[in-house]
Amino acid sequence: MNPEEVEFLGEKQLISVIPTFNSSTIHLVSGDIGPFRASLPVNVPLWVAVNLKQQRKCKIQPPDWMDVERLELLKEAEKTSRNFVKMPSEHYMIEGKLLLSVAADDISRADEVRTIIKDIWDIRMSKLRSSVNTLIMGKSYGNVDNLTIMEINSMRPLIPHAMDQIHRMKMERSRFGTPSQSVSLALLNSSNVASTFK
Amino acid sequence: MERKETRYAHSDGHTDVCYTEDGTRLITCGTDGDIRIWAGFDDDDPFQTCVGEWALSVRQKGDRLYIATDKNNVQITTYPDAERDGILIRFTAHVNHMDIGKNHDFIAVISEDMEVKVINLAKQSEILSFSGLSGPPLSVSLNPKARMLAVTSGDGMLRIWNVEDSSLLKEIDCVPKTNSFMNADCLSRIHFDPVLGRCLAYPNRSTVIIVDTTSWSEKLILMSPEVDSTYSIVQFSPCGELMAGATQDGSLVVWHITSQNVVGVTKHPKSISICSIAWNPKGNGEIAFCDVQGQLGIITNCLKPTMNVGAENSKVETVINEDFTNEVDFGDLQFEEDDDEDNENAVSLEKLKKEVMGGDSESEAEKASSRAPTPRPRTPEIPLQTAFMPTSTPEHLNPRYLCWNEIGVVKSYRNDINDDSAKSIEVEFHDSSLHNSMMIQNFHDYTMGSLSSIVFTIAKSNFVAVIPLSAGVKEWNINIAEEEEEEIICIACSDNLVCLGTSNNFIRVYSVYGTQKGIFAVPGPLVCITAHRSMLLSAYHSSSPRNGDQCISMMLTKLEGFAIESKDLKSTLRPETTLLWLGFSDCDTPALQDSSGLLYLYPESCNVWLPLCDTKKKCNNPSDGFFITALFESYQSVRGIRCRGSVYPGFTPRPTLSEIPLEPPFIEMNTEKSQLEANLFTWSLIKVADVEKKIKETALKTFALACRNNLDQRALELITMLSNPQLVTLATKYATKLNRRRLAEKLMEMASNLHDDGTTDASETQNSSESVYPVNKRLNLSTMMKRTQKANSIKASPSMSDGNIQHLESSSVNDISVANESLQNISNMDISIDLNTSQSKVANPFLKSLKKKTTTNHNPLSLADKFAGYAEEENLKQSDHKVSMLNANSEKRKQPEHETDKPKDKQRRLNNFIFTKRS
Repeated sequence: MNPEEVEFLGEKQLISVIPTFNSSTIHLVSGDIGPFRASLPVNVPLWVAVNLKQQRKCKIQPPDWMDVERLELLKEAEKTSRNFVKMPSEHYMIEGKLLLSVAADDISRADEVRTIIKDIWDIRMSKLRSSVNTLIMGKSYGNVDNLTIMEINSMRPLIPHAMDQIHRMKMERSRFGTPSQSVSLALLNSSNVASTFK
Repeated sequence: MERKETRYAHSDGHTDVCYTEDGTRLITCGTDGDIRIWAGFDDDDPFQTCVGEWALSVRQKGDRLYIATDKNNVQITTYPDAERDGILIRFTAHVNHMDIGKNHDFIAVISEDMEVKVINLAKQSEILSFSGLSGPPLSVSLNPKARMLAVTSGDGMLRIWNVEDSSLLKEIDCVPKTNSFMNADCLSRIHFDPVLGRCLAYPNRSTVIIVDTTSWSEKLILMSPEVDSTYSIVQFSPCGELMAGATQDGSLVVWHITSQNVVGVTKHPKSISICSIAWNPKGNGEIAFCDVQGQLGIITNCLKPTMNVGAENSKVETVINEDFTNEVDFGDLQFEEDDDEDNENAVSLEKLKKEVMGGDSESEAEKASSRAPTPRPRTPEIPLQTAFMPTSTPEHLNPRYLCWNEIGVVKSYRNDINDDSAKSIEVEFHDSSLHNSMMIQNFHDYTMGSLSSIVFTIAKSNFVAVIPLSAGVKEWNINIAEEEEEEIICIACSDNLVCLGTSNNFIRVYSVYGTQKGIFAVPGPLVCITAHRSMLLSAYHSSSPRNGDQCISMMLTKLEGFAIESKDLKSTLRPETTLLWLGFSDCDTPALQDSSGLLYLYPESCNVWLPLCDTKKKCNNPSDGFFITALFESYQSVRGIRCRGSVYPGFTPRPTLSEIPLEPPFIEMNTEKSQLEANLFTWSLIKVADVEKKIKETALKTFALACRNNLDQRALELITMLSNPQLVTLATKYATKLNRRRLAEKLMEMASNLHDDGTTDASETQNSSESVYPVNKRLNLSTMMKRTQKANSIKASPSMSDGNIQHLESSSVNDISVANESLQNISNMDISIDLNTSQSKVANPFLKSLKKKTTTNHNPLSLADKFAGYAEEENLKQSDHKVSMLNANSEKRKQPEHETDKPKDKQRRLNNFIFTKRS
């Protein structure tokens, strides 16, 4: 899946908004939303919230994990733990990105929140890269507990391909005893793989 | 009253003393040029700092001290550090006295060069001067609203000015003449009543005179037989109920003003003249004084004479102990309380005596108390609740909400106390399509706000600004002239009205665009008003509190056009609570919330207050409050803010609204029965939308519950109470199926009675035979639409197993075979219900099974054999004409409905088509 598709999935997440308009229930294929009553919080899918926010028809109530103190704790836990820590939301990156871009005024200390979410993402990605590395080296097995869909999908197109290559190389090696020129060339050609292996 | 031994404060000469605003510290200044800040009278190491050669007067307000020094100026220092912070004002001679307001920002300063100035501390450029003195001024006093200024001077006159326009209001000749402050024996210190400012007290030889500031007539003359020297200083206590007077020979007398009784007299052991006194603003009956030898003294227990001797006495004593020693023996305190007041069985001799002997014994007790070595302080009186605006937060908060209702939120910000331009009012509308949010600079210092969907109103004590929300309509104002002595204490606006409640118990009514529509008086001091459409609800005190309960009554006034129509309501508050919120629901029903969190509604049809929601129970913590903003009767919910650990919502983080359902505080609310009953109660009394079907559903559930618990009489009673023909039918059916024959029979009787009531004009003979007709008619016409949900409701009631149904079915068949007439009717009705349900395709378990069974058995009730019931009827009836008529009738009635339905559907589809095409 590409990031857009993951984002599409993430946008189904419910989020609480405070509408500034009155409307009866809206019946949609995916389910009913509303009724909207001005100033009374209501849960809607993220995509509706973003849409309404862009029309300035609502205030978004940030999810309770989107709070500097909580994220700070999470970041620490992520730093110290060897494994992946469970994220407060399956789509934390998508929610964070969308809300911070559209409704930064509704989130307290939005800039700090943005930085911390980015930090957590970076920590997790580097952890992921190193664990992929160990996996490819054949030293260990991959542990994907608590990984979010977005993170899994950042590695997914790559790993099978890389494994494939390695497998082929191994086959070559076992056939000829020493790696042939053509294989190493093929290896060099896929620069992505090369960077992963570094 | 007891006077403690005086102690050295400053060197010989005029010494001044004042309390800090919070009453925790004493500040003195004297002829040694020092000021000292004492952390209580027993502080052996007061903070001191030198401000000059000598100082004559010191006052504290906020974080500043104002000191009159020998350098002919008023020095400002910080408090509590006492670092110099500029000069307030300079004169050509020394400053004799100052008076600073507790509730306002003005300071009055008098100097030996016969100048009188009033300075606004918030804007120090604003200085008012008062001229006309022909002698050195001796003392000055501002009234609590800074509207009047009184000055005594050595030319023998007491002069009172109006501060606003500097006009001289009154001159009184009462001051002993003197040529200089330094030579004056009698300081003639005067004082305005600190609560209302409606009285001025001044010393006049060996009496103290209290004059009314409107009529200038002498209200009271206070004197004491034990003191014959000249009074030099008078001062009201912070509560305004006691008066302290200090004489030239060092005596200090405290009076209770209303009774004119002397509370206590203490004499100076050396008869040295007192040159300043100050009441502790805490109101604990402490007076600090200084004499001309620079000694500081303190007098405690200057409290109102008490009638109740007993527990309160010990309580207050303990409190005073606390003030002085900062340690309280809680165990002791509780023990004492237990002994006396809390134990209802304990008989207080004093109380009995008082009750029996009445007034005489009171004065006796009083005398005894003034003579007794241990004074008897009285319990604090429960004050009348002050006027407030519903959904506003208290004035001392900053920022604060002026109003938060179903339309929007009005917030008031005060960024900097000293800067007027930093004050602003912000209006946010919940529905942004109504109006954009507004921001107003609050130059006028508005303190009240009200919002409706047509206008926004803001007000201060004598001025109202009304801002219509529709575009192109000009703002208009209401201005009450200063001299009217009328003050706006609360406002309310609705879609049709703008109302002002004033201090002289008037309500002035304007239309939203500024027509003065009327004025009426309320029979007591206003507490709160609220408006909705053309209705105004005003709460007022009908009498003083009884045993701690506020006596608040209400008036519901309808102000349509120029007509005024009013109705008196009482209010219901739980014991010892106050009114917290007053408003209307969206269906025009008056509602109130008391400070214990209970919400009451007053549906007009009941003419009584119904407690409909205990908001405290919906909060997690006992200290949490629910701040009601709006009441939606049609949604059966109350909207508000859950406030953590307080009654009022905060500002950051932005509070979110939540909704809680209206639910009467029935007993055992966790049982299903109580829930059902509570729902029945609520729905039958208040106007909840679309509730008819729910009532029936709930009633049937309650009925089923009673049946299942073998409480036939209760079940019957419930149906009797509701007496709804459809319900009777369904209930009968249910009872039959549960094999409760007696109950079913009774219900059938009831059903027939109900029909009889319905067909009063039918003749006696035909009545029995025709009684079928109206039932069918009613069922077919009025209940067609509701059939489906009712069937659902039966399904919903967690009912019987299949075997049970079968058994019941046969029993009902039996019943029918033995049928009497009324049973016949019922079975007929059953058929028609079945018919309808099958038409509307409702999957009802037992209806279906019924259908199945009847078709196989050729039951007289069967669907296939639809006229079976009628066939039996034929035997009973004289002719079958009527039956056919009935049939034809019901057919006819059904047909047109179908016919009309179809074209409608077509039309709709057509419309849809057109719309889709167009779009």
